[in-house]
Amino acid sequence: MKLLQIDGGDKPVILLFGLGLIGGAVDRALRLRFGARGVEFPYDWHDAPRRRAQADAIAAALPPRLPVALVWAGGQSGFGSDQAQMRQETALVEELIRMAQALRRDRPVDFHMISSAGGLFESQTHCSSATRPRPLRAYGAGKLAQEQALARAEGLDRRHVYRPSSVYGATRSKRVGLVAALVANGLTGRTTRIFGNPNTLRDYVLADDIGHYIARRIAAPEDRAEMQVLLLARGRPASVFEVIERVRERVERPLLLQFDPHPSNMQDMSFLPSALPADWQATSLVAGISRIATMARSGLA
Amino acid sequence: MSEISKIQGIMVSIVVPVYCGSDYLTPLAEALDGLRRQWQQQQTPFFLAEAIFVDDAAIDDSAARIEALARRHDWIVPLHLSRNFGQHPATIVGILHSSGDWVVTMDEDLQHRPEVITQMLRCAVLERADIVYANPVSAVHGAAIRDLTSRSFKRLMQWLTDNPNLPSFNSFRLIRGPVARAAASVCSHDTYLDITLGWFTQSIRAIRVEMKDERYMRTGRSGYSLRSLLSHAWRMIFSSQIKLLRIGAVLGLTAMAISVLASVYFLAVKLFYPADIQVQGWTSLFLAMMFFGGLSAFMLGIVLQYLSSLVLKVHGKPTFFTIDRSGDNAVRQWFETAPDLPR
Repeated sequence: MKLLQIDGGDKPVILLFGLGLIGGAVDRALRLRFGARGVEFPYDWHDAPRRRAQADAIAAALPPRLPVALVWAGGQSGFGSDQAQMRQETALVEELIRMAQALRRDRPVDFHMISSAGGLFESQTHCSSATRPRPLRAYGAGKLAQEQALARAEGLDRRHVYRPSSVYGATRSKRVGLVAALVANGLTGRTTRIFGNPNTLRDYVLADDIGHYIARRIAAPEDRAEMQVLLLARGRPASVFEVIERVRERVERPLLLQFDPHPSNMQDMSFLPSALPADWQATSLVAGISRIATMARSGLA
Repeated sequence: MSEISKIQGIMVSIVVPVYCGSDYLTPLAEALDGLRRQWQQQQTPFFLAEAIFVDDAAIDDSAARIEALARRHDWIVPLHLSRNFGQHPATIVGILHSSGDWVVTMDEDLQHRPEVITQMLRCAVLERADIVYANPVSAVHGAAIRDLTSRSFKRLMQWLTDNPNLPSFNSFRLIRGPVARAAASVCSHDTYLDITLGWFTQSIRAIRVEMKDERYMRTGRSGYSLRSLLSHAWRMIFSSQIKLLRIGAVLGLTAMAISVLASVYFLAVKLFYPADIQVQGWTSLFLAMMFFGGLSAFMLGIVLQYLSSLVLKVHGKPTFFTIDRSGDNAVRQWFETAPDLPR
């Protein structure tokens, strides 16, 4: 985890749990846009006693009186996680909620949770702000349980749940999405295995857009202290076929592809623009792919 | 059909490019809303999920009208293009923003009546089609010269491009969602959308419906100017493999063959009946010109064919495309058992 501090005034101290694709983007945005300085702290997801000691060390390192924004952008789970894995992750989230509640005794504390629109709305298209989540697998049910745990939490100030759709971005981690995999494999001449079919519809959103948006809400929080659920998608679906075409144009090399004949992740998903927050702006797919390709070419991803 | 359709039903997206149709937008939105409600009342297995209005830098107050409609109906999606790109690019943008199992493209001026969509869908699922065009039963513009010009132009283009579906081309289309989005994905600024759609499917049908260009008949103004029609023609030619290229190559090859045969014949005449040749040197000169002219035409034809293949590749002509039509079953069953629907 990372403790970040924005210089000046009574800006919140940020406790960022999870430095994956989205957590990394939030970290980058806080540092580059808001001049935050960060210190990494160990936080062992698998060893509870050690984790408690580490949480105490983190609490001790907090500057006095300053507000805290706790960001949960972590998780070991993925779309294929089973119920036991999701229960374990939800228990970790509940632990962080309790940690936030404990910190709230002597300072304001906001909680920012990254959930998953993909898990919650799998197989639902044209989702509007009134559409209710209908998870189909343990991953989605687990994410919903985590959101409900935050909704039940008392004593906290602002509670924000972000539901990003299919996130893509430059990352060095092993869990890369379709776009990053196509770009990286296209540039190196490797075969990309696709677990959907060419007609599968998804709403692809750039991790950096999410990072900037969340960082802005952390650094300049709204006055109203209430639970907000924010859908972070583009409101413009794209088929796998279109993504392949766009990557082929940007990479300018033949793409070697292998489609899974029995894809486990081929459900369509789409969101209406009217369901998105008014102050949210997403990069176009073409511009996003260009950015990933440029970073991959320059060795940054 | 994706799994989603089994749960949610078949979703239909409407795409409407708008350039100067401000007066028609509210009635069109009401007509679409009426169709939505009608389908809901009839408990059809298909739903009108969204209507995407693409403001192609409209010259009237369409942009504001679209925004107002989008505020009133959450199923209307407003899109505004940064400049006027033309009808096909606007349609392509709309298709790329759609996520319906079927996509309907239609003009904004009510020439294309929304109630026809049910008939188009019926035709598509019963005849296992991927694209259904709505064609007018009679002259659209009520102006003989204009309708004759339109028909003649389509016939000429059909002959030039060897595309049997070309006379059916119309901006009122029902397209299977994956086909529509795949075609829209590969379209460049100069590609003709209907030609591209034909790269992804041959299962194309047309139905005849009553269609009148009320705007043209009332005001004498059409949504299409002469310039835009020429632009359409140019894009159609540029997106197709033109038969003339093949004809040129074949003519060149034929001229070469004739020149070789004639050379043999005249050589024999020269050897065995030299007195028959009145003018010395003319025959050999003519045959040499014919041979090399034919060779040049043939080689040029081949080069142009290569170039044409490259252009089509750049335009995104696919090597293959897979499609799943299994989702039509529920809709087909419904149409077969629904007694009181338009046929």
